[in-house]
Amino acid sequence: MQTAPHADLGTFLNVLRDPAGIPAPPVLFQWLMVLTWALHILFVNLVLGGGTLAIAAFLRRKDPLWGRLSRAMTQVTKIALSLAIVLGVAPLLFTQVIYDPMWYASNVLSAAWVMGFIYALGLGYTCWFVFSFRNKEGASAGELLWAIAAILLFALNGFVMHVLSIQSILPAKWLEWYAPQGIPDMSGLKVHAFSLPRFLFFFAAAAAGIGIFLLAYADYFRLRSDFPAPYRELCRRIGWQWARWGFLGQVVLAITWFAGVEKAAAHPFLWMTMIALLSLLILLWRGKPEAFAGKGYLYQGLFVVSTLVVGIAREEIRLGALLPLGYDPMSYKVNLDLASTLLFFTTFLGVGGLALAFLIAMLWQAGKVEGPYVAGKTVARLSDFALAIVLTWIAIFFGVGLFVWLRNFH
Amino acid sequence: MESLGMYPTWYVPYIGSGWVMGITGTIHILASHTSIGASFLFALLETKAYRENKPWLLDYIRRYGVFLLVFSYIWGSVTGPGIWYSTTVASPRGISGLIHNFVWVWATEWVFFVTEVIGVYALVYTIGKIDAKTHLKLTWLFAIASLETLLLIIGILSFMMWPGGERWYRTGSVLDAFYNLNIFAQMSMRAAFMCVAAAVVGSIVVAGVREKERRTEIARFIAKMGFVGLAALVPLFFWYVQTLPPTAKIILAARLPAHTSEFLIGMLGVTALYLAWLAWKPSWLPSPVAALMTLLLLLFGLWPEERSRESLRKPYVAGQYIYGNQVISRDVPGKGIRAELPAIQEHGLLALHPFVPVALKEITPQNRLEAGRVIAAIACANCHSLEKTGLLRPLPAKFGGTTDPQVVRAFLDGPLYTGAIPYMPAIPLSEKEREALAYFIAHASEAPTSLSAVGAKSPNPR
Ligand code: HEM
Repeated sequence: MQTAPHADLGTFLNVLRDPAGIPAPPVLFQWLMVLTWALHILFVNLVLGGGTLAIAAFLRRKDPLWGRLSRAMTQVTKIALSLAIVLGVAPLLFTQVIYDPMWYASNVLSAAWVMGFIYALGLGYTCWFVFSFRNKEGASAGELLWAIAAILLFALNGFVMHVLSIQSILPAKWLEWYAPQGIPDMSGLKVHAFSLPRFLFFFAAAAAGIGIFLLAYADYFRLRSDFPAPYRELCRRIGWQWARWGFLGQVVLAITWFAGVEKAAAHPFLWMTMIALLSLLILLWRGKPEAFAGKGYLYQGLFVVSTLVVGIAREEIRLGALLPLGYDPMSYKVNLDLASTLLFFTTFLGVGGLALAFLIAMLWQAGKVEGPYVAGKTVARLSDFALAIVLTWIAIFFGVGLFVWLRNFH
Repeated sequence: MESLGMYPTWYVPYIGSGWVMGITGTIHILASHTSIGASFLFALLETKAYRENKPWLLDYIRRYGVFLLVFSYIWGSVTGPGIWYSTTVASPRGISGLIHNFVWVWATEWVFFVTEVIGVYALVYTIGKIDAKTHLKLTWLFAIASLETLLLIIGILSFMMWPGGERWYRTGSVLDAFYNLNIFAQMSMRAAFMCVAAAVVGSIVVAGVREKERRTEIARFIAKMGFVGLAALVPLFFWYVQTLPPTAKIILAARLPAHTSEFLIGMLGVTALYLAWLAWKPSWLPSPVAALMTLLLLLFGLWPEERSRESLRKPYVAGQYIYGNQVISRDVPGKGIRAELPAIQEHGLLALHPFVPVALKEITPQNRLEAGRVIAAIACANCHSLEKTGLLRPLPAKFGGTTDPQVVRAFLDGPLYTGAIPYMPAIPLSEKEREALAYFIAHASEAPTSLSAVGAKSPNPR
C-alpha cells in the first residue's frame, strides 16, 4: 500500500480489519446478515410499493373502493417503514462485523450522504405520517404533496444504501475517490459509484412485493363482513397486476444487473435468482386474478423465498468481488466469547420466539374478527410465557451482572 | 513496515463531525428515554385503570401512544441508527471497536427493538379492541422489553467511558467489558431521567384531556412520576461521578464546556417548578407551554449533558484504548490488540496511514502546508475545528491565535508528544510532521475567516 496504492489490495483490506477480532465464527454473522437483510428488504418493498400504490389509488379516490385501498396502503406503508428500519439495524450490525473495511471506507467516502440519509428518512417518515393523518374520505388533492415528498425521500434513502453497497465492493477505487490528484477531499459530499439496473431492480421488487402482499391481504380478510367481496376483488386484481409487472421488471433488471457482474455465470445463486423470478413470473402470467383466490399465503411464502435467494445472490456478488482481491471474511480472527454468544442466541430464540409469537399471534387473530377480540387459551398462555421470559431475562441479567461486578470491583 | 488500520477522514468545517454526532445523539436521547419512561407510565396507568375500573385512562394512553409514535418512534428510531451512522463516519475505528467487542449484545438489543416496535403498534391500535387483561399484559411486555433495550445499551455506553479496571484488558471477555465500574450508576441515572422525560413530554398530551377532574388525576400521576425521577437524579449523579475515571474527574472539575453546571442545576430547578405547577393547577397548563418545557429540556438539559459526557471521555472514544483520533493507545492482550503509538513514533503518521496519498508520504517544502492540513484533519479534527472561528475547541484559538510556527512547535514537541495533558492523546509525530502541522496551524490563525480548510485545494507552497 505504501508505494503503489493498489499493489496489494488484499493486505490493505486485511489491515483495516478490527484488531479485536470477532466473538464467534464468521459464518454465523454472514448468515445472520443475509437472513436479516432479506427481512429488511421485504419490508422496504412494502414501503416503496405500498407508498406508490397509495398514491396511485389516491388519484382514483372518487371511486370509494379505490379510496379505501389508498387509505389501507397508507397504513401499510407507515407500519412497514417502522419495521423496515428496525429490521435494517441487524444487517447493518452484521455487515460491520465481517466486512468492516468495506463498510467504513464506503461510508466515510460519502459521509455527507450518509448523514443526509438519516435526516431524509426522518423527514420522509414525518411527511408520510402527515399524509396518513390526512388521507381520509374526502381528502383534497393537495395532500398528495406529502405523500410524493415522502416517496421521493424514501427513494433517496434507497439510493444512498445502494451507493454504499456498490462503493464497498470496489476497494481498488477508494484511494482515487478519496484523494483525486493526490489531494484528500474530506468533505464526503460525493457519491462515487452506482449501478442503475441494480438500483431499479429494488423498485421492481417493490411492485412485485406489494402485489403479492395484496393477494394475501385479500385472502386474510375474507371472513370479515366489513371487507366486502368487491373490495377484496379489487385488491386481488391490482395485486395480481402489480405482481406480474413487478416480476417482469425484476427479471429484465436482474439480467441487466448480472450481465455487469464479473464471472456472473460462475455464481450458482445468480442462476437460482433467475430461475426463481422466472418461475414466479410464469405462474403469475397464466390465469386470471380470480385463480389466485385462496393462494395468497402460498405466493407470499414463495416471494419470501425468492427474496432470500436474491439476498444470497447479493452476498455471492460481494464475495465474487472481494475474494479475488484476497479478502475472505471466513479468515477473520476469532476471539471466541461464549457468554455473549449465548446471550444472543438464548434471547433470540427465547424472547424472540415467545414474545414475538405472542404479539404476532394476537395481532393475527384480533385482525380476523370484526368486533372486540377476547384472547383464546393459546394466546393467553403465550402472553404469560412472554411475560415470564422477559422477567426471567432481567433476573439473569442482574444476577450475572452483580456477580461479575462485585468480583471485579470489590 | 505494516500500515495502520486507519480509514479516510470526514471533516465538517466549523462544527466538526463531533457536533453532527452530538446533535443526532441528543435528539435520540430525548426520544428514546421518553419512550421507555412512557412505557412504564402506560403500564402503571393501565394497571390503575384495570384495578379501579377507569377505562378513560386508556384514552390518555392511546393519545400519548399516538404522540409517541411520531415523537419517539419516528425520530427516535431514525436517530438511533443515526447515531450509529454518524459515529461511523466521524469515528469509524471507535464504532468498529465497540461493534467487534459487543456485537452479540447489540444483536440481543435488536431482538428487544423488534419486540418494542411491534409492541407499540399493537398497544396503540388494539386499545378497546382486545380484552382488557390481554391488553394489560401486552403493555407490561412492551414496558419490560423497552427497559431491556436500555439495560443492554448502557453496558456499551459505560464501557465507552472505561472498563473501570485492568481485568478486561487481560481477559478480553465481554462480561468484564459490559459489567464495568460505571454501568449501574449510569443505568440508574438514566432510569431516573426517563421518568422526568416521560412526565414532561406526557404533559403535552395531558393538556388535551378535556374533562377537568380526569385531567387533574392524570396530571398528578405523571407529576409524581417526574418528581420521583428528579429526586433520584441528584444522589445518583454523585454515585455516577464516583465511578468515573480519574481523568474525567479532572475534566469535570475544570474543563467542561462553558456554563454546563449552571445549565444543569438551573434545569433541575425549572423542571421541579414545572412539575409542581403540573400537579397543582393542571387546568392552567396549555400544551404550548408543555412543548416549550420539552424544548428547554432538550436544549439546556440534554445538550450540555451530552457535550460534557463526550468531554469526560477524553481523550478516548472507547474503553480507554482507542483515542478520539482513531489511534489505538495501548495493548489489550486479551484480544491480541497492540498499541500503535510506538509505530507512529518510529515511522510517522503519514507513512503508516493507508489512505494518505503517496505524494504526501514524504514531506517536502512544497507540500508542507497540505501535509500539515492532512495531519491536522487526521490527528486533531475529531475534537477540534481547524478554522479559527470554528465552534468545536478551535485549534488556532487554542494556540492563542499565534502565527508563529515555533510557538506551536513547542507544544507539539513537548506535552503533545509525550501525552502529558490528561484529556489529550499522546501524538508522537515525526520531526517533519510536527514541523508541517505547526506550519499549518500558524497558517490557519493567519488566514482570514474561511480557510475552507479541509476542502480540496491544490498544494499551495508559500
Ligand atoms: C426508506 C428507507 C430505506 C430504504 C428504501 C432502503 C433500501 C435499501 C436497498 C434498496 C438496499 C439494497 C441496496 C443494494 O443492494 O444495492 C438496502 C440495503 C441495506 N439497508 Fe436499507 N433501506 C432503508 C432504510 C434502512 C435503514 C434505516 C437501515 C439501518 C438501520 C438500513 C440498512 C441496510 C443495510 C445494512 C443494507 C445492506 C448493506 C450491505 O449489504 O452492505 N436500511 N436498503
